[in-house]
Amino acid sequence: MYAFLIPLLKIVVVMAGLFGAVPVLVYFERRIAAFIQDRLGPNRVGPMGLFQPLADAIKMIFKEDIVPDHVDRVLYVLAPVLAFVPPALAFAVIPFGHPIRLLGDRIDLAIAPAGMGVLFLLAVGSTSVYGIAFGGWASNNKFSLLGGLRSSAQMISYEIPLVLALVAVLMTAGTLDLGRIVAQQAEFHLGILPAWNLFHQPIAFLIFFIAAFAETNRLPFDLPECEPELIGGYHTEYSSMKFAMFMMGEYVAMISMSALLVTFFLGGWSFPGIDPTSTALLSGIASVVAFAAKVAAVLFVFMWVRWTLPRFRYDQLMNLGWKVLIPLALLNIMATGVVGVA
Amino acid sequence: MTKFKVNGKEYDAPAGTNLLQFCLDHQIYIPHNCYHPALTVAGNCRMCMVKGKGLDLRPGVMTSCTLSVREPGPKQEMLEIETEAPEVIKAREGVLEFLLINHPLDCPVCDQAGECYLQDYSFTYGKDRSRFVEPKNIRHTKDVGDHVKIWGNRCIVCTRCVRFCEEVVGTGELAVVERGDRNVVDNFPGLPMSNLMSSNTVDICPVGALLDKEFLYQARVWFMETAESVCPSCSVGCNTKVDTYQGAVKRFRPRENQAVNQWWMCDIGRYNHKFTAAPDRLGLPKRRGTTAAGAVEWTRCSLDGALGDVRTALDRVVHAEGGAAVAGLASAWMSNEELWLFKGLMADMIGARDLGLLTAPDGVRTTFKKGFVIESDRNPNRRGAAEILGRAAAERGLATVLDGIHAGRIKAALVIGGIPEWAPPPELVAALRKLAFLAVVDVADSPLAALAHLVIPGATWVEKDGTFTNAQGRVQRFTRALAPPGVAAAETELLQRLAAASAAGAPDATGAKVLSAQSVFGDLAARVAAFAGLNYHDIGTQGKLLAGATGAAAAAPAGAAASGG
Amino acid sequence: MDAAAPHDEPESPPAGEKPSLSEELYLPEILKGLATTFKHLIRPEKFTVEYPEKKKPIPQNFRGEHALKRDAQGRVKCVACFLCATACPSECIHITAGPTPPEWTDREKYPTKFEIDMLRCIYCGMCEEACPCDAIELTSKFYQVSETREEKYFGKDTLLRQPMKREYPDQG
Repeated sequence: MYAFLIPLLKIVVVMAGLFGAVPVLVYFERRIAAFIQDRLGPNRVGPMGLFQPLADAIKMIFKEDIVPDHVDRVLYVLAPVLAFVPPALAFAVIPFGHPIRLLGDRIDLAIAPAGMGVLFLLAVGSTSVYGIAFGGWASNNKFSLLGGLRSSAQMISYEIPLVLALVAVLMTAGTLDLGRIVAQQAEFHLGILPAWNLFHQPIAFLIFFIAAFAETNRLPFDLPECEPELIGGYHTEYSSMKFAMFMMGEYVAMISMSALLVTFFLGGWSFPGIDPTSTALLSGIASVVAFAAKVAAVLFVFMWVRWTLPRFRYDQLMNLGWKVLIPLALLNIMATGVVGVA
Repeated sequence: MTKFKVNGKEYDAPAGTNLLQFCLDHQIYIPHNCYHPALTVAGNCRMCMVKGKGLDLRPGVMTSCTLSVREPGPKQEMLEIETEAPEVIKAREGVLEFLLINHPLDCPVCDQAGECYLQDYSFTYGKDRSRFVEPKNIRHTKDVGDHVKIWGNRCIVCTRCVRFCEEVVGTGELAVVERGDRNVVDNFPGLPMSNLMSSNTVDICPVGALLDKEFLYQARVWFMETAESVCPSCSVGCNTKVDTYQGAVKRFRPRENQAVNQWWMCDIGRYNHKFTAAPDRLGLPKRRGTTAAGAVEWTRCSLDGALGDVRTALDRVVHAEGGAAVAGLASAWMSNEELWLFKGLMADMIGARDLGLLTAPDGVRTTFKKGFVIESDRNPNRRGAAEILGRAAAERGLATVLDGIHAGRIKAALVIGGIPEWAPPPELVAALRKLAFLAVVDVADSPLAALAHLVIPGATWVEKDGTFTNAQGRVQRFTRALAPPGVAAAETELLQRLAAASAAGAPDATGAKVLSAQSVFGDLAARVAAFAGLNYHDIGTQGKLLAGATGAAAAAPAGAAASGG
Repeated sequence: MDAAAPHDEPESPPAGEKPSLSEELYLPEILKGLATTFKHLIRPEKFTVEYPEKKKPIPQNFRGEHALKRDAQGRVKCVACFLCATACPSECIHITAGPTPPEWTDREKYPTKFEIDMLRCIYCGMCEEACPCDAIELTSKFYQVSETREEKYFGKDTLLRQPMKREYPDQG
């Protein structure tokens, strides 16, 4: 009877959690930025400034939505949507808790626990460049176009090390099913050290982590928007909610990327004390909390890095991607193969 | 010509040429206070020190104002001076320190600051502090004449003012009184300096001792804007500078023109500017109407509307009764260009037969000792009007017009006044009252304007560009120093727009291109014989004589008995 | 890099400062940086001054709104020399001078009007520098809000009423 209701419910809950997290992230980003710079940050709206995201949202909604005369209208309107749908789609296959049994039915805590989840992720992930490239093209503005072009080049360049890093992980896991990848990591070595891929594949982790910054256009790789050179980059000509959608896209992408990182390297929903074979509701909730906590920790690192490192120069960015990360990832695959055979 | 050397360079000048004046004329600046080219050399300020050598000069520093160019000696040795030698600088510094012993250095509150010789020299040669610890002498601050007040503390006793009153005016009211370091300029008891050239002493005073009471504290000189102009107060046409500050005339100063006014101007002309900022200046056209009770009621209207209405009304009279029913009266305070446009509009376009000239009443002709003259004709451009409108119109036109009005032949008239503070003669008022339509262009709400059916605001000479022809027949340019009040405009513009207004009276004259005074003058020069060969640019700052004029009209015999004051 | 390398080659490190291995690897240096920022993140004291509730002390030489000073007899010290108006780069000082009332025997010129257009003023303090009589001063009045533009056009009365930053012994 609820054969279709349960996936629907999962979609609603996950999307609500995802979009609900965006304003919270904006708030934390501003507070963390302030604290790192010995300031206070937004603390006026509501207790400790907690309602600041609400105020921001209201402001964004009520701002005049300007569409400049010279833009390519269809792409101009489409671009913000494209910027934030693909990262959200990634959540379709990410397991955010271990399966639970409710009212006699086994429920996977992932919207669509597909056997080839990794392939889906990679396919969807590579479309996210369209939003930014379209935004830059449709704005018909030299700064926007440069931002869009930079973004395309950057995302294509860093997708390769990202995927190559995953290849090594998949070689050890021997599966494309995200649920099984996580379940493998729920074991322990020597009884205390979690069997996270972080420890199996530290170099892959490092490469994935660095590429994740580039893929989400975050500092130190935020060259597509790069204010001093490009004003606002691809979103120079955007205002009001269209601009807000670009912002949301960036944060959703951050969450997705963190979730992937957690899933592939940090044991996903697993945590010492949570029995991966249990199907109890409480244990399931605990696993979701563990997953969320790990994602939050990774997100914190994203912000922490942003307010620590300066922006790379474009040539440095390309050097790092092509001359360092890709060879390193290839070597890592080779080493993994050699170790696996031996 | 005699050869001599200044700073090692050889020059030529006729023997007897004043060396200081020669240097000043050749861009070699020598500081000086008491020397003035119009006055006898006094040599008392000791500021114009130069180093002289050659000929029979005793080597050393000497005053250059007392040196003159001399023939070379038997061995062809030349007179030679150096103006910037170290000992010269040292001598000037010493002289300046003495001049400053009793000078209060109150430049911040002194009106002369900014155009003060002593201030400039203090900057160049002065010390940053005084070495004299003794208290400064306090000398009198008092009125020495109707317009001039003396601050004795600031006086450096150069005697320029004393020599001016003696030599140029011939009245000699001023003298140096007291002795030693207490000496100061004062007027003789019971003989205040009330001659008609008294305020020139303010101009020639190198420091802030003699100041103009009417300009006192009005503006700092460096804030003022200056336009070159011509005085309209009599037919001499003294060349002037008009100094304005924040859109108001603050003072007139004479401008050197050896052929007209040398360095001077009279007090009558100098203070004749109050009317430019008088409260009764017209800024908007106005139309006469009648209230229900029958009283006169004036309504303001737009300039375009007023000009269109004037043209319509004149055209209607011409249409009904012919051109002879319209007359035009212009004043001798109008520029050559305006008179030319006036004639073109009234005689050629409208067809008026009778044009007349309004003039301010004559004053007393006054001649001063050195030849400066105040003409009895108190109009700036009667000569130009006679050339442009024709002698007959200028002399008898007014009488003809008045007769025509009394005879009922003339029904409408356009009158251009612009004579400040002028009371029209009663016979003119009586005649103008009879007209069916009277349009008046005037600068103020004058008795003349009160007679009109339509009044259009004009501009005074400081508010427009143009030329006057003075009594000598010299055409002289004046330039715009201010914007006219409200929508008032130069008569050249008003007349052109009147001409451009269609016969139907549609007030679309704004679209028409309005020619500048320069262009109008070009047309005038091409069509009027007396102005042939002149062009606006060549007139420049010193004026040009009309064809056939000798320039003799104002040249009074030098040394004529002074009758000023 | 040899000496003939183009001078704008971005990679060339400054001479004599060859980066060490850990610097070349980036990561250790990045971790050091992260440690620094984390220290600031948890540092309790912040530099922010929460303005309307707390105010920073205004330095003695702060250049705020102008004041015209009075002499020992309570008369305006200004002698209307216009030097402030001359020095003013934004041309916001408008003075009208006049002769002093007859009972002021020691002075002959004073400002009948002294107006400063505070909206044009850039608070550079040149007027204060230029004043030969020490008659104008930029006070430390910092909070300068008005509801209309007219209120910011200060006349002589307003300027004479301003609170003084510091009192000087009268210098005559």
